[in-house]
Amino acid sequence: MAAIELRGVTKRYERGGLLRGRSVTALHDLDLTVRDGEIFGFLGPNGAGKSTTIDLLLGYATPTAGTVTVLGEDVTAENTTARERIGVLPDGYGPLGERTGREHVEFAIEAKGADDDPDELIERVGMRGPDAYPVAQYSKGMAQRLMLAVALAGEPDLLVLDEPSTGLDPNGARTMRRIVREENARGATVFFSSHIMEQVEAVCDRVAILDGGELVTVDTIDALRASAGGTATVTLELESVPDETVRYVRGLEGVSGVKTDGTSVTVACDDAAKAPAIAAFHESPATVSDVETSETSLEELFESYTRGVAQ
Amino acid sequence: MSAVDDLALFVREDVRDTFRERQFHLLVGIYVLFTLLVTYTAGQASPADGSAPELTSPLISLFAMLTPLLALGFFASVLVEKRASGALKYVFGLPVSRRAAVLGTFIGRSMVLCTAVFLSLLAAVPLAAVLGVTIDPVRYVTVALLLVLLGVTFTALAIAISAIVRTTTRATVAAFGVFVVFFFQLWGSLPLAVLYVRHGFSYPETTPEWVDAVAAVNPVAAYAHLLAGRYPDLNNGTLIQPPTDPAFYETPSFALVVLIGWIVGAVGIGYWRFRTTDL
Repeated sequence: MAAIELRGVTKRYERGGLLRGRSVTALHDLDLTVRDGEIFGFLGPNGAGKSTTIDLLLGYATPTAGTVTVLGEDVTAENTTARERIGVLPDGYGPLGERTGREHVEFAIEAKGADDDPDELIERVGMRGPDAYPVAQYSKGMAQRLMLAVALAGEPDLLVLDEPSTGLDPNGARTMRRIVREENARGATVFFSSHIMEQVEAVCDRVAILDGGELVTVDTIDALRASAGGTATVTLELESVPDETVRYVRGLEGVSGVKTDGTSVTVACDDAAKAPAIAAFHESPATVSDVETSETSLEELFESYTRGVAQ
Repeated sequence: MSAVDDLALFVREDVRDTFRERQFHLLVGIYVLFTLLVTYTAGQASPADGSAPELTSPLISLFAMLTPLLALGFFASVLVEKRASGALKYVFGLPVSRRAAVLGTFIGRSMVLCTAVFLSLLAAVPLAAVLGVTIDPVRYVTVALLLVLLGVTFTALAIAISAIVRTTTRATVAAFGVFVVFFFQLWGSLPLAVLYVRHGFSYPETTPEWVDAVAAVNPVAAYAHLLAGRYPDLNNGTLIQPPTDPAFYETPSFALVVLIGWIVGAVGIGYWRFRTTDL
């Protein structure tokens, strides 16, 4: 069974007005399937429609057309069945009145009919201490940790995280990634949106790229890299540059260029050719003092997918 | 969790929210303060016939205006504030239905208002005893129940506003409008205006019956008719003059149906609009 299934989903926001009513199409005919048990990254630039999609998944908003199915349930605002098994970290949430962090977690546990220990959840997201204060006084990062604890209540089968690392410090971001992996290992499907490619790459099995309200692609990061046709580079520092080896490397499969600059050599190649290139220089008479490699810049990759549609 | 548990949890936490936000304390404080003031004033007054001063009458004439005002003022922004702050995204990310939110808020806030009314009336009893102000217990409790019914009706209207509008500013304006329309009898003037226009911009010599019938559907009028049916001599504290010879739509039983109709209708419409709205 698919954890999330969107079929032909369109969302249009209408702005009423007697003479100048306006409408904005946030999502256009979106089809998307997230398989059970995978970590699915949802990428897109600001305003691509990521949060709108998540709003539809949770019943915060109703689609103009199409069907949204989550954990086998039709999503509507009044169908709470699916939400019993979903953990949510929404975008643009706010504190509920003057309730403390702990009360937020307790309410979530009770609403889900779960029997988690609130202390354990608070501990897990590293939020001991501030949990006794009203959430209205929290910093962004603290609130974000709290909402993660809320999302974890009741061992959800699906975690929906909207830009989860917003406002988190490096420690918090690491905790977030660790928890995402742990939850996935437990069997939960994780769906999370981000505009930061590196975070997505660190944890995701597959990614979808959304731009201008339309799905651009769905694939693994490696496959995206391969099809985007970007190049990796290897830079070596040598005692002296052996011409013969340079010629040899230039002829290797997958190498698109070799540039020498004094005692350093830069090889432009695809990922598979990096190891043979390095090995060739190691075996040459010259001593290699330093090696640096880089992959296709994720930023470039992101841009290559999202430019065309947006403009 | 069942829908009933779901609702019970929401009501419980909503009531506790009014404690956490000190709304409960403020509401009880206002009621108790006014009750004690009225009791004290009643104790100072000496009726012309030399009888002991009485508490129910001066109290109800103040509370009949205060209760709708406080219900609208305190509760018309409850849901819309949560929507604006994003708290509803937290709530509806959990298995909480929109119905539980609207109905739960209505029930929770009604309970809070009722408690405030009863606590304040209770607080007046010892002071009245000290000042020699008499209280007819049956009348006192009956009037309290009527006030509570009026308060619940306006709580329902406030929650409906809160569920329908999208900003707190609009909620404030709508609450003010509802108070003016119902309390200052604009409601009763509307059918007259229609009549005036339909009659070629002049009033007909006799006012047709339906104008009075429409005026009787005003919840404040219904409350006045309900009170007049039980205690015709009491000053009802509103701008409505109950007729001495009521038509059927001015009878207490019809008035009761009207009030219940407003409660059910307002909460129902509020929920109906809130159910499919985008957060």
